[in-house]
Amino acid sequence: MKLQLEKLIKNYDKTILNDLNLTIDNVQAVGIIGASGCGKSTLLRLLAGMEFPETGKIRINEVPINLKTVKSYQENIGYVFQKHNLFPHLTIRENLLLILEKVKKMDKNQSEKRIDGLLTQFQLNDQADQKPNVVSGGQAQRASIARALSNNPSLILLDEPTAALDPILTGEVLSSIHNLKNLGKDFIFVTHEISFLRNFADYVIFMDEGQIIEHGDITHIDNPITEKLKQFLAFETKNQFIGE
Amino acid sequence: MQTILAVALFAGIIGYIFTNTIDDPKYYLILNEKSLLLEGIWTTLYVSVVTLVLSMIFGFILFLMMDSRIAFIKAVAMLFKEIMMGTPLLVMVFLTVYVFGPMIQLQDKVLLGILALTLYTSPYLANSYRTAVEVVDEDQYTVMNLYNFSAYQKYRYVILPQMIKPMIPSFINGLSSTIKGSALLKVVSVTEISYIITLISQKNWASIEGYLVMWVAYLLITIPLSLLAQKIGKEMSH
Repeated sequence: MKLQLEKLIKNYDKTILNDLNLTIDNVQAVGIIGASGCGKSTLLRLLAGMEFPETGKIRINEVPINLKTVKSYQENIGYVFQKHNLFPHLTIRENLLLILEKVKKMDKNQSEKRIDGLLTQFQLNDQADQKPNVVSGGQAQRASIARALSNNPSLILLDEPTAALDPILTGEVLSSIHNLKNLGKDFIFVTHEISFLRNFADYVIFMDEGQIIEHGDITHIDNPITEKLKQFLAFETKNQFIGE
Repeated sequence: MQTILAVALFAGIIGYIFTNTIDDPKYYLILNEKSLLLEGIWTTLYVSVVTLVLSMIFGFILFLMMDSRIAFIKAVAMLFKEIMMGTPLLVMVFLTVYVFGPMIQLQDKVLLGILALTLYTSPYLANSYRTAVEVVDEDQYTVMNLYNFSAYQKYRYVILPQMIKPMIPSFINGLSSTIKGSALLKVVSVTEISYIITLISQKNWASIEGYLVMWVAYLLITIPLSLLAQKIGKEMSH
């Protein structure tokens, strides 16, 4: 995957992303880290085309993401939210089928075949006919990852997919994500899980107060340059230790 | 057991009212006219159910208009709602039968009555739709936008199915108030139950008996419907 950010600025009440510039090429999994409120989730939403920057450009694999291109671009991505965001009135299977069969207009048999495959892959066969509120948080989040994969996207974006889960369920979900790496898809994800980042990402971006402070291949987190990243890693590692 | 006791209590009160309101009551004079009474009940039910269905549809359109991004459409819907909610049903019936009816060249009193009741009930249901739609949270809209749902797909597969459950109490109230409200159609000679009973009781010099029978007739229609709707609501929530 090739990712290019050029003079990217995004404001809400205040400046959230402040002049981001970046070009990376030949990476499969990019992890974005940083303290809460640093702008990493906003950046991910811009990368998904769910919002647009005030100024600046985003290109993924040389394709610009803007109002004109966003619909066709979004056909080719999957997005996993912090919460599972499944539709509460539908079963897990219906949630997945709705996207493929009713919205993407895929043939019924073909949709069912693909969904059955995903349910098996994510070990959700027993929960397939249950609604999201009666399965565990980990199962619901796995279902939402399955949904993100259902339209066979080439890029998957994950916004702290374990933020709402306890440590045991976190491990369960992260291992599901880990197994996806061999599928030949690209990933951009936001996380606080440093050990997961180390195992899964091959490139890391560290943000602070709306700016990219450091970026580089994953070995970078073992040799941080700035004091800010050193402090962040020390803090997160300690937190993780307490969590475990 | 305690429910039976409560039912017995009210049955007792109603029984007392029926036997002690006037000396020598002649309810049989009214109850003897079975075919007329059945016709009245049928008209009331028919008018009310058709009104409810039309109000559900028209109320939904009004709700969509009230949420429109086009300021003019929104303003039209809001003004329409305010005017309708501020108009007494009796005035609405007169307006429909003597003003709107001739304007659209419609003379059928039953249809005009249904139109009046629909105009009157729709804004209340539109308000209820507005409350009910809040069960769909912002995250669900984010997902729908990400997967590029069309407006139809959003409503058909996600929003409407979740609105039905919170709407059931409003539909019950809508039906109940329509049944009671339809009594006002007697002023334009629609042969619903209160018109029929008034007719029979005046003919037999039994006005008080007429009103008491009318009361029970309405209870016999509204209470089973309300129980049925509650049962459906319970089943749907499982």
